Amino acid sequence: MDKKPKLLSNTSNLLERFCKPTIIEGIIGDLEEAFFENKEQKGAFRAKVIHLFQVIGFLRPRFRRRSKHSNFEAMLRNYLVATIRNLSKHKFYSAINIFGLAVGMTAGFMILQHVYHEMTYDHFIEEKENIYRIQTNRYNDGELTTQWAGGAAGAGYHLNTDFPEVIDFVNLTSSRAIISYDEKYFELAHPYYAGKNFFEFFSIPLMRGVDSTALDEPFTVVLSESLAGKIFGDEDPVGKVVKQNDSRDFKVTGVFKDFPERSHMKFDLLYSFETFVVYTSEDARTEWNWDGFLNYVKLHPEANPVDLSEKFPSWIRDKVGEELDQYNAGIEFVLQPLTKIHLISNYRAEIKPTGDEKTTQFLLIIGLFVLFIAWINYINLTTARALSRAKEVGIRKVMGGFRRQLIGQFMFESCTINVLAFLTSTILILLLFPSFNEFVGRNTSYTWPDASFFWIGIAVVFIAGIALSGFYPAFVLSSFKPISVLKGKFSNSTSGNLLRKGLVTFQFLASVVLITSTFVVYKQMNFLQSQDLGVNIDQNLVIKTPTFQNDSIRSLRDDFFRNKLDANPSVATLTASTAVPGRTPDWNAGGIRLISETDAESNQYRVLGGDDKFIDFYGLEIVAGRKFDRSYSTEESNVLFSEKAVEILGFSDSREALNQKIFFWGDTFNIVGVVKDYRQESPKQAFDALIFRYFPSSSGYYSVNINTSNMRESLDAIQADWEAAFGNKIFDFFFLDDYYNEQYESEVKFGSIFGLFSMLAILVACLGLFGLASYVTSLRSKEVGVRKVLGASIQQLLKLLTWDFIKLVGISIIIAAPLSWWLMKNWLAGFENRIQLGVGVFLIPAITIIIIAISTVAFHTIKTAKLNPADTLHDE
Amino acid sequence: MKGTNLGELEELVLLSVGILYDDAYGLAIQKEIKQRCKRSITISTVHSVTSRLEEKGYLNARYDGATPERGGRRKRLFKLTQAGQAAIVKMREMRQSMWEAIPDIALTNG
Repeated sequence: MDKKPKLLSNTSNLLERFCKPTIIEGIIGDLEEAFFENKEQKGAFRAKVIHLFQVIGFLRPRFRRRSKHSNFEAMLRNYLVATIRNLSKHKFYSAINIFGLAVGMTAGFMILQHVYHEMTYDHFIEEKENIYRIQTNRYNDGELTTQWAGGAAGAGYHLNTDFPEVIDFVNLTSSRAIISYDEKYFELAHPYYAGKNFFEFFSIPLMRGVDSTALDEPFTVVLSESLAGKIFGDEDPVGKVVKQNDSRDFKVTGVFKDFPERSHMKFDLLYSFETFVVYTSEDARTEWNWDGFLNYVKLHPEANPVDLSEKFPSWIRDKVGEELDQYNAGIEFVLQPLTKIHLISNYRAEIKPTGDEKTTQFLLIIGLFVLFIAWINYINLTTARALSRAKEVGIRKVMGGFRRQLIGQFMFESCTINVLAFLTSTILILLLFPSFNEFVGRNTSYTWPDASFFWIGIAVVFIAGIALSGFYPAFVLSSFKPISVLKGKFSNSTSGNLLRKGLVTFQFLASVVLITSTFVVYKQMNFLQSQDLGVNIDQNLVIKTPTFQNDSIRSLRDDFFRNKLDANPSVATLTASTAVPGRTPDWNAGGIRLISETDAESNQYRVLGGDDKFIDFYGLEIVAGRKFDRSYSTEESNVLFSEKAVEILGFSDSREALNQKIFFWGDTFNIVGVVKDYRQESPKQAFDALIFRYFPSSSGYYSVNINTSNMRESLDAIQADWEAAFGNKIFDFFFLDDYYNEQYESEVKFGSIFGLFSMLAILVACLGLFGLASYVTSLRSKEVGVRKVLGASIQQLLKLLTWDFIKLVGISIIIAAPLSWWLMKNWLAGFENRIQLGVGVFLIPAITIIIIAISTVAFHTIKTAKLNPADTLHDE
Repeated sequence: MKGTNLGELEELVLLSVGILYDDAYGLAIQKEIKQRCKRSITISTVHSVTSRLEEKGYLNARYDGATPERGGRRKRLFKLTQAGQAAIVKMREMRQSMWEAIPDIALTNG
């Protein structure tokens, strides 16, 4: 017979431990016999593999030994009993421990979830790793002037033609059209024109219609599921005809499922790009100087995007270098990976508001901070109370317990407490999740991610937490020498004290940084909101003008509506313009220069058209020249410049710019006035270079200053006028201050999330301090008694007991100040307009923290200091 | 105890124990079933079924017959009990009576 491999004795050991003793001999015998048979027939290796599988087959409940004397089970039972007794004996500390951990976990997991949400946009698209968007930067005189989310119309087309690495492309451009069906009008938030291959490119299957041909023809449209439901109800929309802008008929060729929330794209409907080409010209496919098109390219799986982008500059020179030189302009293309667009991109003409990478990273750090603080609490509380467990450890060791086993016991305790905390936090999360979603401005029906990746992450964090927070206390508690602890000689080691102090300092350090940052974020928000905007946005109602295909009808109706409103007692004043404050104007015009200059000296400006009342209506100030006046017959060839625009045009004094002739897209205009700079877009941005054109009946927006004493009534009256003038066209209105303030939404949201989690961090840290203080002071109650007997005053005692903690908090404040200064300086760098970081910004949070810490500690110290020494000293 | 119904695998094991008579232990039962029914069942399944049959009182077990291939370990040898014998006999009769109840016409290729 062959020699027995070691594997067999190992597995038989295992089975002997596991299986019922009555049958074990038969089983092991069978296995061994089978092994040698297999070895002869199939070779040693396969025999071993088969053997392992056979052994695993025996690890099932039927064969398990059910002895009450099983060491392992008995041991676990004993650990559990010890844990439960210990937890219920010190209910107060246990509660603090578990609750602190639970709050930490809740905060940590919610943030992780939020961060995961932000970082996994567009993951549903099949070839996501090969798809890139071409983001375009435009330069003038070597300066970056405009950053487009999309860019030149022909960018995708030319890349696809000239580079073999680019295997496919698709383009999109936004539309402002509305549609109607059966005389019913539907307002569209995100209508786009999309290239033929859109659905195949992004692997989006149509629910109805044929993916590959839906957008082939001009005047076809594909609807989103929700829009199709709104228009057609349960009917099949395919083959139906809808009207665009009351004029052109479009055939519905398909329905797509609404894009998930986690996508940077969102569409109500997609018209075929072919339609756009018919409306404009074939140039829409290839043009270099026509911006506002979203271009997506698909790279060959083996192509390197970095290498490809490096080829862009020389390629652009070859293609359009001469043309660009003529205007002293430049183009730069950037490849944005599809899945990162949501985080990294925030440029002109995004499809929907994007997220922010920095904010997300900030939040991730806060979330981890809160978790760490909670674990530190656990470590501190457990080691600080080591004394009360010392006798137990001594007895266990005397009875023959090995250190290894004691470590096992305390690790088991950590596990139990962590699991209890986890359960508590699950309940908290279930309760708070909807409000949290609302808080971060997300759809409340949003559920937890189902990706295994996410849950593995959570599991890793959880297990790491148990290991981190459990190991040190287990190590310390199990190290006690039985002789000394049983004799009663026991003191906390100095190194343990030092570590504990270090951890408390870290906790408060984190808290101070968080509270300071929150404070700065709030201050900055307040600062922005209290800025003098230079423009009056209060009590203004803005109504979008209706779309008419025919300009003369539009003009007639427009006059009618204005006359009606003028006569309406709820309306104070009225103006019409192509844009309103709150967004940078859609109209971005390049190639504008003084008539005497060459094209190379031209620049880009934002253009805003309005009637003669616009300047007064918005309370803009004229610093030189005059505003528009309808009595001049040639007013339409006059323009106003903003101060910033005058500066870009090359004049330092506004008055010099007056009566200058400028060249604007083939026509000549005369500058008749200069408008004081104001915050057209938001106080976050620098002043923009604006040109005002005179349009007596602008299409875009009516701004109405209403009589707010009875809002409902005023609105009704205005709507009645609207219906008289425009029939059933959509009455789409908003209040300008809300619209303007939407721009702070992301900062306000960031501020409130930051605030919330800072509070949680501080709460958890204070819980820890509270527990620690109560324990440490209770240890010193005898000392306090003796001091009192010897004549110490309560104040002196308070100082004695509190000083240790205050010292730690002080140290953390000193370390935290530069750290938070550095962090906040970085954050503020993203704002054109920002507050200065003064001493107060650090002082106020520091004082707050000290007050919180003192009051946390004082609760116990006062109690201890007031104790009657007779009570504390009598039991010896 | 659970019901005394026999599962299919249980029946096969009982029959194999009967066939092997004096040498019915785990590995032999596994081989017997493989050879006769062309079914591969794992050794742990065999042990699991025999232990279930023991609980039901259809099998008795004793230790005997150590060989060097088994590392000197004895075989756990099974034997049909009275109840076990009755069970397979009853099973056969039941099947037989059902067979007889099938009209001839049902078994012709129609």
